[in-house]
Amino acid sequence: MTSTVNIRRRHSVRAASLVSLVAMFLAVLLACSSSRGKETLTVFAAASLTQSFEEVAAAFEEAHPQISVKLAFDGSQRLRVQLGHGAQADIFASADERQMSLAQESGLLAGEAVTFATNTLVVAVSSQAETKVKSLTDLAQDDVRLVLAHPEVPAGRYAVDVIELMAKAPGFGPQYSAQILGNVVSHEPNVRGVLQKVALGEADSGFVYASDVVSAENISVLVVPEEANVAAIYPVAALRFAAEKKSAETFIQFLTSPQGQRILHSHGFGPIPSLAGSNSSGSPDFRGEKPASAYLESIHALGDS
Amino acid sequence: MALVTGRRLISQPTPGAGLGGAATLLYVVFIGLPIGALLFKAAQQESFFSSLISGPALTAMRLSLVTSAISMLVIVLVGTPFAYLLARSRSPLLRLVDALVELPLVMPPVVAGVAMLMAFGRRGVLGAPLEDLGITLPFTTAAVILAQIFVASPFFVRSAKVGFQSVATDHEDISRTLGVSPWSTFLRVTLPLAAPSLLTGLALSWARAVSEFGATIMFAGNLTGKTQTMPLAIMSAMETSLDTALVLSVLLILGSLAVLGALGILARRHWQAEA
Repeated sequence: MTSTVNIRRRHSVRAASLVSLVAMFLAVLLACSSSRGKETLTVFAAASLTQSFEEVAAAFEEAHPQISVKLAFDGSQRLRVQLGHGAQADIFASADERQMSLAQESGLLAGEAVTFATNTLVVAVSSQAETKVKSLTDLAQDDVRLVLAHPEVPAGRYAVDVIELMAKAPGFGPQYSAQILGNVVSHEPNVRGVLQKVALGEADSGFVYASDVVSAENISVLVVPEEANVAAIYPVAALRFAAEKKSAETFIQFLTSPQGQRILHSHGFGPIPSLAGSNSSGSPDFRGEKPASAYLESIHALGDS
Repeated sequence: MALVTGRRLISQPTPGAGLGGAATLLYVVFIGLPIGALLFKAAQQESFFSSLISGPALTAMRLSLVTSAISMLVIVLVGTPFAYLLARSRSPLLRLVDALVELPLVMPPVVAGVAMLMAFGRRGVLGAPLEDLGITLPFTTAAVILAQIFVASPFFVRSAKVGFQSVATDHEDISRTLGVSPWSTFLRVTLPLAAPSLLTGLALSWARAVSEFGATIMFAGNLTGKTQTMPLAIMSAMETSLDTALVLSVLLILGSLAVLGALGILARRHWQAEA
């Protein structure tokens, strides 16, 4: 008899602890979902924006204490596919106009995309390979191990464009692009993967954005000449299913504001081409037209140091 | 004895029977729905069969089959004597080694990839001297195989060790007293008795090797025909079109089912031969 009572008591203790566990779990869930009166703005951004957007978000949160910014970074193409399959976000910042126009075609955008930054390509060279790869022509040597982003990633597509433009330039020769593409040992899922493989010294060199090398260690930088370079255009747009449309607009305005631009410049991004050019739905085929801007020289100096 | 208790457990109605049934249903739906949905969506495509036998899909499939076959060969050749020693020896040092074997099981694949780079990368502990000799491992097919062996071998060693432990040493002793050499005893008595466990281990190990992704992309990179195995090809295809990714996924599932089915039949034959 006493034993059954004991068992029952034990059962009720167990049930009580179970209930309290569930309650705690729910409380944690609630705490996560309701941000205590604070709005949460979710931003999907290209991998090349990682450091700069972290700083932009911090400055934005300081200026707008009622909004907290959540950032997610990956290759623009993957973010676009994720958004297409129902990922919840308020803002999409792409590293090229192609992924943005694909998002537009899928009806993902709330309005027009706005250009907020530009970028160019450089060649990152591992500090181990500095004696081997001293110039862009050295990239075509047989024993050079080159890493590119996947051709579908904006950085990978730009890299192929730059290589083809270089092959047409004097001093490189038509076989240059075939030789250099033959040296590719990996297609990384995003541009940060390229930088990582070069910085680790596993690959000798890789094509990355000028903004990627600003904070990178263990690498030196080869500058791609203006006539062979591309101007990567970074468009941003509020998303159609955004929960926080108004805050999304505020964030986009902040990006193009002097303060936002200053942060982006400090991370190696180029200025918005022109005020008229901020409407990115204009000509999608801008590549090869815009010359690389002067800030590249300062990066080159940085790479040498 | 064990058989009797086993029967009694099954024949008597257990208090959790209803719960068990509900749990089974829930589990089958949870696992079956995503796989069924994958097959259904892939079959809906018009170009399903043409993309199934398209160049890139077959290239990745071939690379996956070749690399995993080599990995399995190495794992069986090295893992079998190693597992036998683990099963038979009582040395405390081997106990430590035994625990070490399980480490890759709990390592996230990306961590395994970083570890491979630190060891065999161009600046790695062993990779740097190898580099001086003119041998470079990262971004090669060999790197794919090394990554597979690293993450998949514990499954085989684990299972093989348990298999060898289940073979009573009495059998081996009798065989030897009858004048059979230790080698023959191992090959004709121990190995056949442990075979079902070895085959189960091989199946698990192969499944892990074929699905390996994280360590491969870290250590071997992603290049068509050289290091791009099926999981990496599926990831790359996802960047372009979901359709191709679906077809590749179906191809991988069908291929895996065929290999696992064959190994399962082999293992069952051995069980029946024993019983």
